Amino acid sequence: MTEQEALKWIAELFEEPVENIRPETKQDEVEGWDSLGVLSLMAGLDEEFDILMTEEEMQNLRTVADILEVLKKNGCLS
Amino acid sequence: MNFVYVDKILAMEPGKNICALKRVREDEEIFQVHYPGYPVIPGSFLIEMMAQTAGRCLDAERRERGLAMLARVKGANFRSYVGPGQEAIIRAEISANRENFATAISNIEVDKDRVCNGELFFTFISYEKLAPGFRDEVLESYFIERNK
Repeated sequence: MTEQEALKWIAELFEEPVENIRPETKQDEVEGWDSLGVLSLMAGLDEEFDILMTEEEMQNLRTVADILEVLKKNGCLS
Repeated sequence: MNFVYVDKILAMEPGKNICALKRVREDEEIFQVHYPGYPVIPGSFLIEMMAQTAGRCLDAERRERGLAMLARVKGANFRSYVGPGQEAIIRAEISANRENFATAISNIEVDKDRVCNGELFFTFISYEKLAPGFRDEVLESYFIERNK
């Protein structure tokens, strides 16, 4: 998956226009990245990429770049 | 208003899959308003049927995480109307089942035709938040029947 495809996936997950999702975008700038969004992200990483994250690890994700980093570390980002 | 939209669990592997039945009665309260002269179950109620069915499949595990609550619906489709006298067969497969969330793929069939399907996302609320003595009669009936 390319970074552009990952950004599109993140945008769809948070139901946000893709142009609003950039690596530097912060959690509080994304309306859908609330407590339910965190669980949705956790489920998405699990179901789409087999990446299992704990709640504590999820709390450390503060920007879109942090999500991209998780995908990269798990070999899901080219 | 009776908002239990599952009559009976026909088969279940707790936490994995479930098949349930809802017989739509002629005198369902909702038909007084939806719609006079053309009674059909609202699409939102069909989602509720799937959520109550899949939720019971999760609740049947009796895990400490609490009671399954519908938190998100993805890609729901409604293909035809469901009306009085029809029997809805509701199925759900639990596709992810973790401590703090679960997802289910669910559908409803009437006369073997798929009328509705969707992907459901659940979170959980503590049992302590429920009224003391809370009981799920549909689940209890299933376990009593199964243990006979």
